[in-house]
Amino acid sequence: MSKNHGRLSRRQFFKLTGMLAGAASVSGVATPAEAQETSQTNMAVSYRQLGKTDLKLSVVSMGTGSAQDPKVIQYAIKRGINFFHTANSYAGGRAIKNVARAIKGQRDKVVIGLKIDWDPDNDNMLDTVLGILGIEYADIAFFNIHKADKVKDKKYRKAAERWKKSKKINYVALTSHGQTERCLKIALDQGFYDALMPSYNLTMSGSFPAIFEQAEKQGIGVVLMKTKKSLDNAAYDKAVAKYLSIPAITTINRTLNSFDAVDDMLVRAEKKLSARELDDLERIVHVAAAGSCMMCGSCTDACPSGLAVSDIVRCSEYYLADSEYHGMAQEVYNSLPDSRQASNCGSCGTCESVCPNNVPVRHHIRKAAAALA
Amino acid sequence: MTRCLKLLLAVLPVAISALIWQMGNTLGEQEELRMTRRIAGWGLHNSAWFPESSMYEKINGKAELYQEFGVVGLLTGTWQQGEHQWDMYLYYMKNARAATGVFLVERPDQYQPIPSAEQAYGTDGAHVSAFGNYYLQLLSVSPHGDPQSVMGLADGIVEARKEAVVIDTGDGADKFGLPDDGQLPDSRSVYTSNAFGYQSLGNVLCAAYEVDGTTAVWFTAGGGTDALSGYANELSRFGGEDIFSLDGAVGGKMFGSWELAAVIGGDLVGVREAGSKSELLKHWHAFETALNGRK
Repeated sequence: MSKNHGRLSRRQFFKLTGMLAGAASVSGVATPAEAQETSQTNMAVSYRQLGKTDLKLSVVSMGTGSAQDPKVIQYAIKRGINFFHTANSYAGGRAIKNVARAIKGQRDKVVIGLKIDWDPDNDNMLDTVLGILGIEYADIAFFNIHKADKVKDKKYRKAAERWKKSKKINYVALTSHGQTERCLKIALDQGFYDALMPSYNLTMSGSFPAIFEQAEKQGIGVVLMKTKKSLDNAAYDKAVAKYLSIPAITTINRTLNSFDAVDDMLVRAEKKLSARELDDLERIVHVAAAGSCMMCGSCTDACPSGLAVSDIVRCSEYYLADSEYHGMAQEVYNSLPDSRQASNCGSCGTCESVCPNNVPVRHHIRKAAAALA
Repeated sequence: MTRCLKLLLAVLPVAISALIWQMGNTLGEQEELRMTRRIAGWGLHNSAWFPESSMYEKINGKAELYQEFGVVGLLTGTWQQGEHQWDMYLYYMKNARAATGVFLVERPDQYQPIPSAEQAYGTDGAHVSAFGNYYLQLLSVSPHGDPQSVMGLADGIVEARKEAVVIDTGDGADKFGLPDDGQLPDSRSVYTSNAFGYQSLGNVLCAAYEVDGTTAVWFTAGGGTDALSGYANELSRFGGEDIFSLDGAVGGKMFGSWELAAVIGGDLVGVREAGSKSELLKHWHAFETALNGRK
């Protein structure tokens, strides 16, 4: 067998054997690099109460849209992350199965947020999905609504009441990444939501600060998602601390695909910003905001061809952001009805004329048509 | 003398790049000429070669996916038989794993397997296959073309390519892929990055196998010894227990299941999700035997 491994150079051999020695002596004397890694590993995780609920969530939580390996979820649990958001539709159904494998035998250590990506009148579907997850109840059901008018539909409140009564869910939340501010405002007025999960990043201004303030007053917890959008890694290192400085925010939900990414996120969450770093961040955000989509949905509302413009832009941005997100971009794009996809664009430019952030919308539509159609 | 050396060092990368580029172009032109123009009653028209650097011109942003896996170029053309026209996209991938990788990534959830070929399927208006270093898409010009109608054409292209140059610009790592024996149906997956949660593992092809009634996942990955060092580091940092080394292989127990990796023939290969250390070693032995049998 050893002859098959004969291609190691001397340098590679020493590098590898040194690594093995380090690996085998975890409890021994640590090198400076190992000491740094160890200090990260032992870092305590902070928890915050989710609004008026009895749930205490880790300030970093995990989205599962990429169907991470179950061991990454298990590692996150080991590190103290306790909130996981999942959906039956993620990664063609693979995500929820991976979550099920990861949480088996440790239900008491996790809070499960379940995106309701089906008609809430369908109670059987809830039973099916809970069955796949191998759990009796979801801690929080997230109604996934991106149209302000739909938030008012009474079927959501009725479903929430039914499911709470039958003890299949404990709490109910609204998640939105389209017409987000309008959706959130209506949800706050309705008064039956326990939590909100908007897509939000620092490049978005508008009425979000007032919405967060109102949520805090009403005891409604806020989970943030899609927080890295438009920010590079260096800016995001600082941005996480900024997000968590907002009193209403309970946790940042982020898709973490590797063990390292889990650690990085936990380190970010414990960072405190100096005045200078805050200034730096403000400058970076100012630049990043130019031409960045806030997912306000104005373009979708205005499109004379009925395209799901905001979603198409989102897909294009996923695709362009990182090759890691190609699959996710394709999946979201495929979920759009044919009639609302990029190929139906008449290139009239209405979307760009109504966009408050000067996003080059047609550029994204062309990218999506080329890469995802 | 020093100045000459500096000058040489400065121009060397440019010269090498130019040489590789030229090789890619020349290869493409040769291949285009070598492409059989008539197969099973079909005639090829408007063929064109696009090296990696200009694939965008033909397929726009989709080029990124192929580049990610490793592609040399794309040969396109239109095959015609009577009124039937099918566009051909024949991708020259850098190695067999890259071809299989894009095949698996692009395969939709709903597809019709084509029994006569190892890696082929049909959908409404498309016949897609991966063979050797090649990834072939035949797309019907008219809507709803029947993929069965181009079976003969696809087989003919595969046959013609057998005599063509096999391109392997990698490190020779892909003389093998995953073995067929013992592989569980529909269990193959591809991960371009962060495979199994490890940042050091990319370009991974894996599948589940059964050995003596036990199952485990076997995988091949890019990166060789550097990737193995990274893997060993991550395994120890992120919760690996009972870490061991065995004839150059590194392994351990990770959240309840056993796994290991080693470098064979310059390529990283491994086994994971074994129920016990003895099961892991049994699978590893079987995998190693299969790999050595291919050499």
